[in-house]
Amino acid sequence: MDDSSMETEKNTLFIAYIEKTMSDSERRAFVERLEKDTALHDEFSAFSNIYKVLENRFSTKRADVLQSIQQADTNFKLSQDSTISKGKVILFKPWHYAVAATVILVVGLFLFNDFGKPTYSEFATQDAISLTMRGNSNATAKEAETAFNNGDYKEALTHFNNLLQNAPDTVQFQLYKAQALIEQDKFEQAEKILKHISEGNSVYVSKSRWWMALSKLKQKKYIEVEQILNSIDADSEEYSKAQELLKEL
Amino acid sequence: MTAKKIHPDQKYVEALLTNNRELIDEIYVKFAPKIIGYVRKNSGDEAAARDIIQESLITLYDQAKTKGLQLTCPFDAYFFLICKRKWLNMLKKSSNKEVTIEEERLYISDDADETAASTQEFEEQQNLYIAMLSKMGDTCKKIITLGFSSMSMQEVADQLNITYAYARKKKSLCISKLTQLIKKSPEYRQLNNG
Repeated sequence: MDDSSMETEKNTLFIAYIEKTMSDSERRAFVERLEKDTALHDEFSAFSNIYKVLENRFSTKRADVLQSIQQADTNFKLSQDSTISKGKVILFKPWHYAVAATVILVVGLFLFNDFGKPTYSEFATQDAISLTMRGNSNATAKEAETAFNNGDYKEALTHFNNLLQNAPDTVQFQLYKAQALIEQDKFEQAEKILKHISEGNSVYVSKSRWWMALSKLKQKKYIEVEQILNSIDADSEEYSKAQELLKEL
Repeated sequence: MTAKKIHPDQKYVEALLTNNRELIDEIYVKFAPKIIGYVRKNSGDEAAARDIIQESLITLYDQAKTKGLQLTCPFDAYFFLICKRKWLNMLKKSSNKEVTIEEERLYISDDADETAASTQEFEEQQNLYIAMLSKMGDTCKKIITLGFSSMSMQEVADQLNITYAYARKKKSLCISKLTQLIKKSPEYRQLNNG
């Protein structure tokens, strides 16, 4: 028998003793041998040490303790993170997160939604229009009026286009068309029409400037809104509304 | 030789042995800041310090569980020392890193020094055993890790698709082989003579 197989035999005996798989008589005989044989005793304690370390290393109890340590580490880190140290220690309570979240939300609304600024919908109050005069039984005009007053600007636009085909210089139709375009966010087309009206000498000059300002307001071009509003005649119908909007800006 | 008096801080060792979560939390609250402070002053950061603390605590448990660990000094001094030694070893290993070592001028009792040295030695032994295990064949690795887990030998046998009798025999053979490997390694001799 070589050294290695002798050792294996001894180790098998050690394991049987440690794992209590020996019979009582074998056990007694083994203990007796250990007492007499110092070399065997030393070998056994060395083996036993290694065995215990391995047994512990893969035990579920150790895994549980490790988990508790990791949990304690997390708890500690959380308490550290919630500590604002500026000479004194302030515990960051959960409701502080709620406050912080609200502040962020408000700032966000302010930055991205221009919180506090006047909005297009506040000022673009569409009064019911009346295109049908006594004796005027133009069906298209009636349809345009109905669609516009119902807020169906897409349909209204079609009718205004039809109307303008027959009477391209009717400023009233042009103005309503521009309003219908703004409602549909077709700013470029709308502003082209409004500019044309504002440069003319119809009774709709101030109205066109007012709507130009509203078009810019809807696009949040506040500086331009201000400039346009300031160009509205003081004795026009739109002046008071313009001043109100300027104040809010 | 008179038996040394066990320090009341032995409660922290017991806390680990009994998995007392409240007291384990207390260990962190009471002792972690000093270690974090030390690691920070010596080329490390908080995350590195927390790793060191975790490793030291589980080593402490391992030692207490397998060899018994009786504190005759305050936990503070002992624990700081094992964390400090561990951190300095880590720094030595990562030699590329430029390091600054700031020695703490504090009184460390001989007891704390001795106990910390025994923990470090224990850890080196344990690391050696695990390193040797990793050199073994897959079957032995599996049978040892599973054999010492909460699984019964029957479950281990089922998992490895072998008979119960063979699993028992194989476990015994694998442990025997592993201990022979460990004992033959120069590190083992060094550790046991040192």
